[in-house]
Amino acid sequence: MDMTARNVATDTVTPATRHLRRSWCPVTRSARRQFLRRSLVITIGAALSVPGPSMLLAADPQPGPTCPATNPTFTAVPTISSHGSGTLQAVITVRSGTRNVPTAAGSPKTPAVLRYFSGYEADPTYEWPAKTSADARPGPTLSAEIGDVVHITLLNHVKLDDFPGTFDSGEQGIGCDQGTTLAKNGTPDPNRYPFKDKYPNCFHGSSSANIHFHGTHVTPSTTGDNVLVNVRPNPSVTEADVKEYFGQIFKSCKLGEEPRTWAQLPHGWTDSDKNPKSQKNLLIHYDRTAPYVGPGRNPDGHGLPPELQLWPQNQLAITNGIWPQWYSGSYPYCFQIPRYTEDKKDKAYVKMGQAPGTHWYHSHKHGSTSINLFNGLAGAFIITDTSPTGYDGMLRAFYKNTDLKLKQQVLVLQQITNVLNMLSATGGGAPPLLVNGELTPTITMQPGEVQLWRIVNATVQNFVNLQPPGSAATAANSIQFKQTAQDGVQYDFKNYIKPQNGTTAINMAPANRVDLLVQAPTTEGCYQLNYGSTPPGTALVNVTVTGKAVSMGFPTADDSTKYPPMPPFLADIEPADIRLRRDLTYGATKDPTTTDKRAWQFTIDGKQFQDQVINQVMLLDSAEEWTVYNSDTLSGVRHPFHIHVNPFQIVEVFDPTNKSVTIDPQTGLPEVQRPGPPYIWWDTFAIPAPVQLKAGQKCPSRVVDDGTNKWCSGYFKMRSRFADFTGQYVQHCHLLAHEDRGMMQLLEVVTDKTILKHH
Amino acid sequence: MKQNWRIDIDEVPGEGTAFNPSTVTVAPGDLVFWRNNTNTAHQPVATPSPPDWQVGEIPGRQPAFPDDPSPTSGTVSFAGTGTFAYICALHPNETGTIIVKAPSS
Repeated sequence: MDMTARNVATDTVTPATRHLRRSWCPVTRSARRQFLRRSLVITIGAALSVPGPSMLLAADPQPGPTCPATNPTFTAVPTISSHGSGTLQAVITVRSGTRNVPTAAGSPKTPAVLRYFSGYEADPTYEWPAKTSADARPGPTLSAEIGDVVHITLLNHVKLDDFPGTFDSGEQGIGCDQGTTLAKNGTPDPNRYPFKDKYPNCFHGSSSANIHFHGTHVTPSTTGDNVLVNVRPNPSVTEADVKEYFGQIFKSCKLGEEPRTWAQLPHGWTDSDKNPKSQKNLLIHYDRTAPYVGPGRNPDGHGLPPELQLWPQNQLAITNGIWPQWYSGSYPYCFQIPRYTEDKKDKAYVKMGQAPGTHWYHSHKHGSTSINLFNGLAGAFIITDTSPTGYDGMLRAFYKNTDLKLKQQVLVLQQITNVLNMLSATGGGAPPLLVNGELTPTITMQPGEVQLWRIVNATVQNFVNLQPPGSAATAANSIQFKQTAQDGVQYDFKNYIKPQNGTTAINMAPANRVDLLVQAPTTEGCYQLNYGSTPPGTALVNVTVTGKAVSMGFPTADDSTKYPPMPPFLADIEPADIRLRRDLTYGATKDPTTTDKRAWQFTIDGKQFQDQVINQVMLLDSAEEWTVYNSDTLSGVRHPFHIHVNPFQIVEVFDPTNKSVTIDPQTGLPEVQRPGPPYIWWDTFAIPAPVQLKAGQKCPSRVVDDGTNKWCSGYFKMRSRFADFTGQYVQHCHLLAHEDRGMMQLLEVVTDKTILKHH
Repeated sequence: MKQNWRIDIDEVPGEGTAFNPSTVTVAPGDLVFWRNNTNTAHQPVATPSPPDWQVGEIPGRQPAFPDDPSPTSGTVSFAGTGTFAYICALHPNETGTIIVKAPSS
């Protein structure tokens, strides 16, 4: 055997992980089952984008003759589209392998083993990323029209033995990933990960997968945007193995009959004894053979103890009419993207349609969302309305007779790495911000050209502050932009034409999306769209402006009839419609036994995510107003709040840290901001951080006393309608390590016919 | 970017079982783990007594299921530089070395 040293550095990358269902977890089987059903995660909220005069920044352009040839060319990610057929069909596979990742400008890419999405529509020949390339890329862009049915075959082909300590490798019966660390030259580190973290609110189970369709208004149950399912890796399961069965499921979905019970799924895929690759047989095989050396081990170190086995948990769920959580190798996603109609007699009538816009998809399993997105498991999901009065139809029509038609660019922002800092002995700096897998790529435009840029912040923890043109900028010498949508929901015309639009910074929290009409300067040269906390910032992309000048422009205040009208379901939620008001508080607590920051616990309403606890129950089709506080006086960060399924409108913000807002003489603190109607829709909004109160200041928000100082919490107030879909889903912090470590709540939307059972 | 370094535990015909490679050089903060490709259990552990570190027992592969992935260990991460010897706690004749070296040195 060749015993020469191999550079295994390119072989493996993942934090050691243990999965949710280990004996370390002192919960009952029922409790575990309950948790497993819920163990998905949610996304975050966007940063404050209520226009404020202080957000005006001065980044004067510094055009150069040409963009540096050393910068990579912008990579347009291929799109899998429904092509007007009414059905978006795709096979998405979670793969693992060595990918090349930019780490610094001017340096060669660094190889690292990562998990990543690949996908194709029908012919694997056209799979993206192509097998001939090893560059790290987002998954393929998905594109569908509202009203379409989505059929996605998910395959999980992660190679477990390339990753250390994932849940069916070397199980020690602990439940959380472990970092075994030598602090310095052999001194043992008693504080190695998981340190104070406890299952299930710790990093674990990193090779399991599912897909969250972030921003969609679809069912959170069964084969919809169901982040409670957990698809174990199994490379032996191929598309051919499931194609016939999934075809039957997809056919039913197309007819509007999405599966509601396990029994409605094809027997051959679910619990057939004859098919060796039925879910029953695959899970039983895993239960019998998985490496396990925890309590109750078998002599050979294989086979799970009964209380940890997966198939019995599924069986119990099925018996109780609950959608089972565990799958091996494959899962069928099928759901309809609702098109709003005012005809209440229409079979497809919904109170909230899907907002057409820039959405995205990503892996969303509790305990591994952060490492999975750090690996790059994300892609854009563009939902269009090309009807004559739709968002896309109107924008395209506006540019129909200009020199160029409106071209679209999709920019997926990511930070790629293979190791979580908490699992390493040395920590490390933040990875660079990549655009479609490249560091500061170059986009080429013609002088004066307008393009629609759809930007997705798919990073784990990076607030991206897009810089506006500087005060001396002109259309001749600077990139101009106008925002047309936030988080996949279009701007009302009245918001679009506000003078702040295009002149103030746009702060994108992790998970936020923005649509920008971007206009190239009329003078040829190299320009930058910058980001950063202070101007001029760092170049996100270079733009080479070259070629024939074209006449295009933005819709102006005179173009109200040419700008996409707001669909009726996106009208403001009026105060009279509010059924219930409730408060939520994001916070953090210390462990009294240590000063180590790694022991901080991130909580909502004082608690971490809990088994068997539904934290909020909302009535179907009702509207509510939530005030969401940030009382985290430890980390002092903005926590991006995200909720699945339904977007919300921000009606009030108090940011005590915002130095650009006028000081309220009554409080001595920044004024409470009330942007006024029409309100902007979001699905992720960063809760402003608290400040320490000074003498004479009167906090208009919740006061937190940490025993030494008093703090004034930041907050926002939002209104949302829990429309059309019952079921369980989550709200959580979209700083995804916080979500993995417990900053999440389980929600349920119920009808007034629901009988709540007492447990 | 930090790296993950995988050390295989392999059967070597005529020689028994060995860590492969037997010596790896890594940077501070990198993660090291082991993959057991043999049919018996192994457990890497540092040689000082008491050991500075050890990973849990890694079960062997099951011959009846050759397509199943090889079991892997948890990870070891080194903050400081130096040369660290280790053995298998279950088979002390199996030895290996991890050299931790700053990238610039």
